[in-house]
Order: sequence, then C-alpha cells, then structure tokens
Amino acid sequence: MITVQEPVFVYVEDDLPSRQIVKVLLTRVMKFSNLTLFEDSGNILSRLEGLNPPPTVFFLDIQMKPHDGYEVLHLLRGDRRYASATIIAMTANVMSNDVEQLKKEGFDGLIGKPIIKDTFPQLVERILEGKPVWFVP
Amino acid sequence: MSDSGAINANQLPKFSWDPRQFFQWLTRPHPSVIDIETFRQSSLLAAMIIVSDIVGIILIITLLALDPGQINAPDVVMMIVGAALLPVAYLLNRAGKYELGATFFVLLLYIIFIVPAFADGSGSASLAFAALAILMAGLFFETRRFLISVFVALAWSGFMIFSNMENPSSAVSEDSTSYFAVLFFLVLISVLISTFILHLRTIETLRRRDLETANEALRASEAILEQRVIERTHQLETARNQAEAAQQEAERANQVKSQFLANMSHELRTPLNAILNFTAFVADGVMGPVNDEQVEALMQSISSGKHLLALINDVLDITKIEAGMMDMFIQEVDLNEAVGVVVSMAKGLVKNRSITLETTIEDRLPITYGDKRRLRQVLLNIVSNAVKFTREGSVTVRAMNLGHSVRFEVQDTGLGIASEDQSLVFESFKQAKHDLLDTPGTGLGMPISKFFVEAHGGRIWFESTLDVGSTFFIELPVLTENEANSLASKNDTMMAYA
Repeated sequence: MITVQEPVFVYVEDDLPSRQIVKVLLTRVMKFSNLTLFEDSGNILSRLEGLNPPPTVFFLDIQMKPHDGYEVLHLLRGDRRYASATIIAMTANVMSNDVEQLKKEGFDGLIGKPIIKDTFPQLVERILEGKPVWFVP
Repeated sequence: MSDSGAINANQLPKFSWDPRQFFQWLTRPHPSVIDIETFRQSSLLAAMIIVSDIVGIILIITLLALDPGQINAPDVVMMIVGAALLPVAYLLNRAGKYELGATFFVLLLYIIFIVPAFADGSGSASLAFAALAILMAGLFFETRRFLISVFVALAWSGFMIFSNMENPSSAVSEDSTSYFAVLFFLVLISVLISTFILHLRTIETLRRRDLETANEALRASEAILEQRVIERTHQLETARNQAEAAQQEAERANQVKSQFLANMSHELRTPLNAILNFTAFVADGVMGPVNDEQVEALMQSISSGKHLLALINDVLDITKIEAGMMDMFIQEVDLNEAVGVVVSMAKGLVKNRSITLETTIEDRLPITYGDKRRLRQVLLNIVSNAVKFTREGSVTVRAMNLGHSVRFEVQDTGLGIASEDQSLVFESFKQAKHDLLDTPGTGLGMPISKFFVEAHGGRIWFESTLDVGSTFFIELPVLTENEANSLASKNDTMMAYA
C-alpha cells in the first residue's frame, strides 16, 4: 500500500503580487491544494498552531516585518513540530553573500526572485524529492 | 678629512703663564693659516727660531767668556747681529710670511753658527756647509721643494769635494776650526732634536684637539641624524596613518557600493517578479481566454522583462568585476557534466531554428576546480551567442582533453564579426548592431566571460570572417583546489586595492 503524502505549504510574504504568483503556480499550475499564505510574520508560531496537518514546506520572504526571514527560520527550527519541515527562502536578496548567509543560517534552499514561471514547478518537484535547490534567476 | 685638515681661529692657543701653554702661544702661527700642515710647520719654525736664538745667545756668551783671544771681533759681531736678527724671522713667521721667515731663519743660522767656525781662512769649507743650510731650508717646505733642496745640496757637496781634491791645502786642517765645526754641528743637531721633542707635544695637543673637534662634529652630526630619524619616522607614521585612513575610506566606499548594488538588485527584481509572472499568466490563459494577437503582445512584454533581468545580472557582474569585488565559489567541477548541461541547453536553443547542432565531445574530460556556475555561464554564453547570430547552418561544439588543460571550440556559420569590430568583442556594451533574436543581448556577456576564463587561469579568443562565421576558443588549465583558490584570492587582493 502506497500513501502519497500531500505536501502542506506555508508562504510567509508581505508583498501581495508575490503571494498571488505563488498561489497561482502552486494551486492552479501545479494543482496542490494545501497552501496557507501569511502576509506578515507576527505571532507566527501561534498562528501556525491552527494548521492541521502541520506544514511540511515553508517558503519565507527575508525582508519582512516584524520578524525577518532569518528570525522566522530560527523560530521554526526551535519548534519540534516543524523539525522535519523543509524551509526555503524566497527572496530578491540574491547577491552571492546573501546566498552564503542563507546557507550558513540553515535554510534548506532558495528560490530567488523574480520567480520564473517555467522553472518554478521543476524547482518545487526537486524540493519535494529532498534535493538541494539554490536557484538564482 | 676635510674637517680634520682645517683649523679655526679658536683652536689657536691663548696666552698663559703655564710653561707649555706659553710655549704653544709663542709658537702659534698667523690666524690666516688654515691648513693643518702649514699650521704645524709654521708652529715648528717658530719653536726652532726661539730655541736657536736662546742657544745662539748662550753660545756667543760662552765664546766670549771662554777664549776671547781665539775669536776675531768681526765674527762675534756677525754672530751677535745674526742672533739679534732671529726675532725678525720669528715675527715674519708670526705675521703669516712662513716661507720668508723660514728662509731668513736658515740664512741667519748659517751666519751665526757656520760662518764664524770657518772664518779664519777656510772659506771654502764654510761654503761646503752651505749644503747643510740648503738642506735645512728644504725641511721647512713641502716635499717637492725639499727634494729639490736635497738635490741642490748633494750637487753642492759633490762640487765642493771635487774642488777640495784638486786643492787639498784648502781643506779643513786647523784644529781650532775643526773643533768649532764639530761643536757647532753638534749644537745645531741638538737644537733641531730638542726643538722636535718640544714640538711633538704641541703637535700631540693639536692632534688631540683635532680629534676632539672631529668627535664634537661627529656628536653634532649624530644628534642631527637622530633628529632627522625622529622627523622621518614621524613623517612615515603620518604617511602610514594617511594611507590607512585612505584604505579605510576605500573599504567603506566599497561597502557602500556593495550595499547599493544589493539594494538595486532587490528593488529591480521585486517589480520584475510581478511584471514577468502576471504577464505570463495572462498570456497562458490562466486569467481567462486571450487571442493570438494579445498573446504575441504579451510575449513581447515577457521577452523585454527577461532582457531586463539579464541586464540586471550582467550589470551586477560587470560592476563587481570592475570594482574587484567579484568573488568566486570554488568547488570540484566535472567538466563532462558541465559540458553536458550546456549541450542540452543548446539543443533547446536550436529547437524551431533552421540550425543543426553538432557536437564533438571527448568522452573523458578532466575534473578540475573552479566556480561551477560561472564556468557553465561562460560556456553557455558562447554557445547561445553562436545560435543567436546564426540565421541558418550549423553550430558545432567541440571539447578536447589536452592533458593539463581542456579546450572548447564553438563554431558557427553565422554573421561573423567585421574585422573593424573584432577589437570591441571583449569590451562592455559594445555589441555589434545586428540581432537576429527578439531578445537583444546586453553587450556584457563577452567581457564577463573573459573575466571568468582568466580568473580560472585560462584564455579566450576567436577567429571570425564576416558573413562566413565565427569560432570561439576557450582553453582552461586543469586546476587543483589550491590553485583555483589562489587564483580566486588574487581577485580578492584586487578588491583590497580597488
């Protein structure tokens, strides 16, 4: 018996167009059904508690308020419920030292902005297969 | 030497009743005498005149007291006159007329000591002793004149001996005269010796004075030197501080520049995200049905947006390169894999084009170290250029393992580059006018590629004929991890002084 576990996506992003784009790509193009969008990072852990099943893939913007992407990453890493979750940065801060910083802080991958519509599905597939993705357009 | 060879006025002995100092004061030459050798000679002459005069006076008194009958009056008068005239020689010397004083002194010595000794009939013998006087006079002058006087004295002696042999009767015979001659000669020698001994002290004193002056000069120059060292050290410190401040300023400026680039990149990418994706969604019909004309228009928008993105990336690269801020991520690079990726991307590029892609790739390309992403970027850049500038025909990709290096060739049957444009290929923003694709190039791909090839220790060049085609060559050395890192850090060093 094979159970294909449906990924549970969370995208924390303060930029409306970005949220809309990812929503279109994940739900309409890739046909995933479980995506929750957060427009800021305030009280993120308590707001995540309401989600059942718990999220398995996080997309985090970096420049956002009140907690930036790094702070959210550390909050999630400090919580046992998300110990096995994949945490991907989704940001326009893609200079080489930014990428080094993301790796150092413990992100599992990066999808840089602008999101390239034709590449995005392949990147998400790779992420779901547990392969490293560090994509800078 | 120039210091110790000269004397100055305050070196001249001052008057004092202390016997040695008094003697030094007496023998002090004229202040105008500035060279040390003349100073010593003049001083010596003065000492000799003084001693000779004293000895001469004693001699006259002795002669008068001992045996008045033996001596005739004119001789004694002459001796007295000579002794009385000696102070004139002294004064001449003191007045700075050293040579005149010396000559006069020798002449007077001759009159006082020699003439009386032979006055009684043996005139030729006294003339023979003139050689001695000439020799003495020579002692007071410099070497050349001394040698002349020796020569003249010898010649004179020879002449006198020769004339005496012809006329033996006139030779020195009388007991009294020979007694006087020997006596006076001994006196003369003792005068000379005693004067020399007395004078040695003066010379020694002077020498010590010279030494002290030299030491003082040395100490003074040491102090000056020390002062200069302090000043110079201070200047160097100031210069170093300025250099450090300048470097800090440069580093700060570089940081500001980096921050600006990062911000610019972020601020341009964010709106592009919306532009590219919403346009694509509409074109794809995700947002509702669109007709072909609308799709075409939207595709133009997407193409322009992608060009803008390429431009952002290339401008960032070229700016970092020109500021010496481009850093590379060195890792193991399997060239088989890298070339494979590029070839598969090239296949995508020639799709729907009347271009055939031919590949001659050696099976076993080496594994090297370098920036994998950048090397791939370089290869893809020359392949996509070949496709972009070829209307129809073929693009051939070759990769050869040369052992210690690897060579890539990308040959096309495209537009080619006019010879007058060939020198511009590796310069920023200098792409030639014609473009076949709807996506124009940024004009930065080749200079960026050149930088990365060279940053890996390789070289890039091309051959091209207008309307026939171009071949681009890249040769990369196979690097160890250390070699690749040291090449990459050369780039960092460049940053520090950019």
